[in-house]
Amino acid sequence: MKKRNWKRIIINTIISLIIPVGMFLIFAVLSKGRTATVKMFVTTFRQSIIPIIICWGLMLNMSVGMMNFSAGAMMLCAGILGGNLAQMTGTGIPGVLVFCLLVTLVEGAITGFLYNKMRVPCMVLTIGMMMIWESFPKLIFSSGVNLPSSMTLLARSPYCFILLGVMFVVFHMLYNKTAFGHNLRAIGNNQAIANSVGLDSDKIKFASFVFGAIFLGIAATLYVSERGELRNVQFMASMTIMMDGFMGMFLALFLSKYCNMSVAVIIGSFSMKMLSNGFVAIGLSARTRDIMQGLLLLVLLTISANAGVFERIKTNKAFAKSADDEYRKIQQTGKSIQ
Amino acid sequence: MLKKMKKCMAFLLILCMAVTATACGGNTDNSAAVNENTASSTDANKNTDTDTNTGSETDENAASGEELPRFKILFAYQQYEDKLGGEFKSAIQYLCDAYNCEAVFYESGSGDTAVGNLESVLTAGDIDGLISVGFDTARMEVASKYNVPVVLACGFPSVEAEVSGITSYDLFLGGVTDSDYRAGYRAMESLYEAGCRQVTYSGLSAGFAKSHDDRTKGVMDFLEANPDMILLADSYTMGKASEDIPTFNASFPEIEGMAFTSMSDALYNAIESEDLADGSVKIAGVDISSKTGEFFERGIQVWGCGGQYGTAMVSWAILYNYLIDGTRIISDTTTPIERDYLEITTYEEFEDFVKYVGVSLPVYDAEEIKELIHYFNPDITYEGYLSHAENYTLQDIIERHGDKIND
Repeated sequence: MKKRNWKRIIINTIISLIIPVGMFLIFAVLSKGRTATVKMFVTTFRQSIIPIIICWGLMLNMSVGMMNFSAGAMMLCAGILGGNLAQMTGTGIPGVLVFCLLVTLVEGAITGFLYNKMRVPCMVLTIGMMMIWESFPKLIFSSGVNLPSSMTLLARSPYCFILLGVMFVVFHMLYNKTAFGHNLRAIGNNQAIANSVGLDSDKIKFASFVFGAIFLGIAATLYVSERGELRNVQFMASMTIMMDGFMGMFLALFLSKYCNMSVAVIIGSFSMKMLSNGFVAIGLSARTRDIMQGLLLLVLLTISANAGVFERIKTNKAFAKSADDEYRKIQQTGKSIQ
Repeated sequence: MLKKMKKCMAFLLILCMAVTATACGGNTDNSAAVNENTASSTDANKNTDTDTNTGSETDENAASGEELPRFKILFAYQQYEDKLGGEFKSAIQYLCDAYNCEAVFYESGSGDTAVGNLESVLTAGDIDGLISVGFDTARMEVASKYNVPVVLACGFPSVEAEVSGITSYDLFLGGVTDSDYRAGYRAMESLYEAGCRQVTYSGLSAGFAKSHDDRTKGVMDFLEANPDMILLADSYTMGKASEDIPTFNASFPEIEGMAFTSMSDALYNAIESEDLADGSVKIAGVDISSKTGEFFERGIQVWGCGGQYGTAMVSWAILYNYLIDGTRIISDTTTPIERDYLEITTYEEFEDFVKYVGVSLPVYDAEEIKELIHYFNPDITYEGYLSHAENYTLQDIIERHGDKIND
């Protein structure tokens, strides 16, 4: 049985928590304690729930190198259709959940099918699908959806946290404990080798869209419950819906080297939301907040992309030193003989 | 296998083209950018279900005098599914029905898409005039190319170069706008009068819409003039103002008032979710939503405003003046006619607003619009329009339409 390297685990845990804990402390000082309250913590966490779930859904595609730009549009379409269908059938909150899930599953299946058949880059396909999902609900429910207060409970505490917990377990099991999750990572690491050992990439990529759609369906349910109303949009305006999840995803990819992906997503999305709220609490103007957030993300991504550089430099220096020592030894040996 | 796939793809593409050609060929509601309503197809927007029955009044107006020439008037707005879009559509359709005109409603789009969309609509060559919410020099060039006069409604360019560009065209007849600056100023003033000294503000991303920028300016100017009112935090997003509420609430428990550049049900939901709907925090904002009445009744909202579609009706009158006898109401087109919003400060006023400003009868009926048209009223002048704008209040509408709308 493999012995657990506790030292490694502790180091990785510390590295994973450096960013959120560091941010918390910095903002606590800068805001003179405004951000260091339970209320702020709970609010930030609650605001992170939808981005976390979106990010989990996106990760299933990102793991195989695919970026789903239509996630926001899928959620919007599902929210409008699901909300209206639930009201028409009188099924209340369960109806919102079921119909939103069904719609996103159909959307995910169609996207996956088209990806496999058309063989176009995922970015191109999903941008096209984004426009379709944005426009489709307008044909049926041109005024969007309005939910009564009684049907918006899922977005409130503690129901949203319960839903988050359930989806965490689902993602963790799916990504880490199932053959699908293992196959996903195998294809993501090296598709050619994965294919050569018998993995069917088409089938797995299709499944990634479908399973990702489950998370987007839950996110859509929470999104429509939180807002109570959704309107049709156009011209790729739905991208703002998934933007928070998107931002957290990059941080999660960086953190996934040190902790499990399911946890990395939570830390990443929570940190980005804490950043946003922290800037508000310290009184920065909206423009400055946007610039700071962008800069910080850039710094994090740069560190992540170049994480191996310092080690390589260190290794090269060590190698150069040992080569120099060897050369001096040889020279000295040569002189003594002479 | 590959050959079969190619054949399938080719067949699918042909099918798509055929469907598109068929769908876009006729006058259907699903055509690319135009939603056309002929004057003869009266829809639910036309009032037929009240005792006043303005439908019959408009029939009388059209039939009582000489046969009016038929004009095709294009109205351009972002979308017609929201409340304001629906009101615009209803009001313009009402006027077109009353004056033997054909109304064409079209979703303008934005940026380069808007220019292309406009050209595709004007290409047929049968549009006599255009009323647009939002415009730029590029679109004015297109309109001028097709010899279509233009009047702006509920918005005017803010950049000087843009104003110079648009107003240099002879076919630009001017614009009528809502006083967004005053709306922003009044929102803050109302919170101040309600005793709020520590407030937050949520607006739209700067530069996206001049109307929202003007509201923000009004807000900031009021704050500058009243230094005892403190802006705890502000935020400018694209439609994510409801997310500001929990953040502001968590960061600043001392909030007394919240102002918004645009109200919506999502905002009201967020306020309730954050347990701020107990009256401890007062709110003020532009636009009316389905929950506005409830919040006024509970004493949470202290100020609101709406009624912008009346501005579009005045723009229509300016355009019609030009079409029917060449009258140009606005000589200096660089300055738009500015009209106040209809303000609401109590639940009773909200009830009056719903009764008299809702689409059961537009804020101006066909006879009242006649007074703004030189062909029917030779005494009307630009000054008359300014005076007309000054009188645009809820009380004025109640006095004019009180006997026309039953309870």
